Amino acid sequence: MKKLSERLFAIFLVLVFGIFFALQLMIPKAEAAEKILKIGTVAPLTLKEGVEIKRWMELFAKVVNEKGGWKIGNDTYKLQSIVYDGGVMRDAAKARAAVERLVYQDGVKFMVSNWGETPTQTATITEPNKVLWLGCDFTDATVKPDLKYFFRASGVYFARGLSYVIQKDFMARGATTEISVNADTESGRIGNKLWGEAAKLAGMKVIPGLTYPPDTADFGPVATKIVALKPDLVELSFVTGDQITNIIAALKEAGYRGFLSPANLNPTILANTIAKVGKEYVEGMEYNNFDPRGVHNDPKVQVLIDRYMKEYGEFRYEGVFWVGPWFIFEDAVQATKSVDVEVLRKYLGESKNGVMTLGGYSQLFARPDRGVLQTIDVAPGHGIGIVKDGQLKLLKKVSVKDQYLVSVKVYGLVDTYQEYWDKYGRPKFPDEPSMIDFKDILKK
Amino acid sequence: MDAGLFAKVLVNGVMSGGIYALVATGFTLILGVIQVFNFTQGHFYMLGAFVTYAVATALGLPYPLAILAAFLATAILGALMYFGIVQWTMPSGFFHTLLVTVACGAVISQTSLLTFGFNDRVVPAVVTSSLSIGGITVSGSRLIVIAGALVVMLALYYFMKTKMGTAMVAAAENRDVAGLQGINAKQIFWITMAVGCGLSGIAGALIVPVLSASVVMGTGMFIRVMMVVLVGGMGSMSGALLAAFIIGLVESFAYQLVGELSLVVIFVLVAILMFFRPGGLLGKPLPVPGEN
Repeated sequence: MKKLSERLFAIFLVLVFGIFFALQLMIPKAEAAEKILKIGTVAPLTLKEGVEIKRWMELFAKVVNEKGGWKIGNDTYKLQSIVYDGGVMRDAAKARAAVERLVYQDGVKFMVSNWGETPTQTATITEPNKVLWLGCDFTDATVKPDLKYFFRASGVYFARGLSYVIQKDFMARGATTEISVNADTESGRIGNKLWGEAAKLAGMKVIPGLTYPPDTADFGPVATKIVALKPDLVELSFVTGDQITNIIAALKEAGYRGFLSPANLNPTILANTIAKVGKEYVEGMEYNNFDPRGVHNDPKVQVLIDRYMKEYGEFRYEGVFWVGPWFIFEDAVQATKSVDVEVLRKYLGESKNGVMTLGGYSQLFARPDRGVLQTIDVAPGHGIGIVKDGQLKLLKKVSVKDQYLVSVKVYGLVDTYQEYWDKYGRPKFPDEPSMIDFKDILKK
Repeated sequence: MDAGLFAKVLVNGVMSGGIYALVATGFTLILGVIQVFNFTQGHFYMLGAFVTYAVATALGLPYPLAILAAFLATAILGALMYFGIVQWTMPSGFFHTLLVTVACGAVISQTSLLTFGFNDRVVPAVVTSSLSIGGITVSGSRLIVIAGALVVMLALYYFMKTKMGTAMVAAAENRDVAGLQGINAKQIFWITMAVGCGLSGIAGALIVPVLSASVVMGTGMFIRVMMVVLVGGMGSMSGALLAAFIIGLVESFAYQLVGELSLVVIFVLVAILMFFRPGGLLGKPLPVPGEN
């Protein structure tokens, strides 16, 4: 009896050790075969933009995984997109909670895309943990030398080419005087100033910008004042949502018959505006277009657009701008064949080429005016649309060169940047048609 | 300022004044007769705009029918608010009723937001042409709003001359004496609430072809209505009418001169007026708490 129990115990021990041994052999094999690269995103999932960011990020990961993942050295990485709700703009507590969860619980080392100003609210989490973040921010709070791991791969600092190209278009159509109209907010006043400076550079006579109280419902007095100032072109540079419809309706009522450029137009706003003022009145309006369909000739991006349509049905444009950083991240990984944070950071900081995104070419540039000499801030891919027969049509894309050079000039930073260019060389731009060159902004 | 610009600014001011007058008259009626500070007045203005959108745009029915629907819907909702909530808090005093209307406003706001979202709803312009006289062109849509507001004010004037209207005035002056003369105060109260809220609804219905229906449109309106009521005098309907046009015109002309600071101009004017006439143009000074 004693012998039997000893034998059973011995068999038990052998089995236990055997299982452990087998597991030891299996686990390393699985890790070697397939690694998971987690990519974190914080987006406002209660807004259309947030839902679209999530859709695109998941689609990007899915497309890469279907092709077998990323081969980096001897490893193959399957991508896992983790998207958490970071709340809307001012909800810093929610944004911080989402980023903490990504960094501390999920162990994310790469964050791509966001909406609004989350990086400013959460840099104290991502920077000490060396989380590489290619995201968006509209303030310059994240553009400073001590933030080493954040790259503004989606933003509008180097985006003044958009207004310049639109203004040039209207000049070609006969406009000579311009006025920019915005709500009386900080961004509205900045919008008026920047649009005015771009118009000056384009060669237009600029009427000082007009602002109105942000809660304005009746735009009759605003429109009456605009008409009295007799501009050829009215630009609603930072006006958003349904205020566009109401301003345009009031302008028509007040007898304005000149050119119009509402920067942020979408199919709903256009339909509402047409219901108010008719198709003829809005014909020829130019605006900032985020729908890349129609003229995108990059096959890789076209495949993504087609795939999006297949996955989600109707195409939505709300996420296009915000997921631009994905393409810059993917380019960096493919160029360096690395998923090491420091290697990627170095590559991004010395960026020399434009990357094709859903919205067109995007490229990172240095910000010598902020003391940042690594390439950190994007000239984003922007499209210009035109209203034709009551429909939104993509007219052209704004070149990276126009975005960058016009911005430097409009901000009054030519001297600072010239010094930088003299020392480090002028940036190279993607091969695409542009309207402005260095000689146009440099002092003779 | 040339004649053409002057005419446009004048029309803008009169139109705003007409709309302020309707909402402020409704507010003053309720405040004067049943002594309820109706915080939902701006919300009913917003609801009127959305009902008009639903009837005129979504259902495609004629615009005049939509105005009627907006009036009826907001009047019924006002009466329901009275029966369901206001009447029960009235015995507890002025501030209780005020707080209850604040709560009702929050409920209407949030329900509207959930129902309609942040996107504006558009009702096409009723008149697309302009009126030109001697080289001066003014918007037809705005003239229609002015005409509509005047018709409603005229109707209200005649309503106040009827037996019901007289009973309202009597109840406003002295509830007890009115009761002794056989006036059914409870009936007067709910009718007042319905008419007061309905006036806001009509204002929303009249303005929506010029503007758009938006869930936040009531907030800005309520601020202006408070200015109107302060200038006109608390509880004075004729004061509210006069003040509404003054505020509308000042706002319109001030924008041409000082731009986005036009609302500040109104605040300054109201402050000066309050200093010299604490009771407003046609009202009596409010009692100071603690003083008999």
